[in-house]
Amino acid sequence: MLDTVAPSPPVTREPAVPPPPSRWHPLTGGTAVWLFMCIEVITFGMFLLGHAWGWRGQAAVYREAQALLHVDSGVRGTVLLLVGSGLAYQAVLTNAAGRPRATAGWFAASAVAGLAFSVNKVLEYGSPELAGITLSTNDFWFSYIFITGLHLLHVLGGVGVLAYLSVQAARGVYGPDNALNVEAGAAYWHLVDVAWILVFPILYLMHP
Amino acid sequence: MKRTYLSFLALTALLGLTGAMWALAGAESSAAMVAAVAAVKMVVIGAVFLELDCAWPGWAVAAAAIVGTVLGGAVLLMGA
Repeated sequence: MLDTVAPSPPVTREPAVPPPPSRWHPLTGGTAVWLFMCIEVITFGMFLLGHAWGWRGQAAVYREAQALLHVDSGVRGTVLLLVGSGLAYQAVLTNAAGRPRATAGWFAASAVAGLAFSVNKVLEYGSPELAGITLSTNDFWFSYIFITGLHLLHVLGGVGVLAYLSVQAARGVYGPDNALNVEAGAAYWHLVDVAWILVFPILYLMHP
Repeated sequence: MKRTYLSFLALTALLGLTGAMWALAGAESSAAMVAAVAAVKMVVIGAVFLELDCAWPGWAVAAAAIVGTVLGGAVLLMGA
């Protein structure tokens, strides 16, 4: 004889309550890129602190060398990087608004700004005042060539990233629901800017 | 549009501060003054990250600590 199984009562579910809105959104571009940014700024910072320490005991040599630097070139570079960061930020905004062609255009413009910074820096390296100066000339020039060269490599890498993002955005790959790469690329470009904002005053402007 | 205007406002402030640093360096000002203006630039950038990118504030505090250490440390190490 088969037992009849009583039907189980229907499960009543509580209506899903959305979590309270948070004032702080998740990190733009993801946590990994922010960790990378922190490590990079610390790296640049350590080299710059080493350079600052070099002023002790070699102040005359450092002052003479610093006087040869093209501060106007440094200012041009600062302006180009700041404008480039602003353009990259516009790309993030237009991507969030679902305008892929505008996103591609802003990223392309930002890459052009980065390229202009690179040309400006190469012209600075090739200026007659810096002719014959190498990494081994003295400690000041070692710091200058090494730190600005390291930064220039970051800029060139960033130009490649921005150009890639521009092409992909033009193909319609990104959008409001697929913004991680867009935000990560823009965050990286902000890092390049922040690093330069440390490099410029400490190498070009500051002295005892 | 508010975010766009804010970003342009921040950019203008940063460009102005860059000019101020240039002027200070030309006037043979102390390293501490140049570093102070650079620190103000970082505050503006921090505000951009906080208000425009809405990043978690702890990261802005960490960034400020790193940048402040580098700028302040540079001034101290130079003996300025």
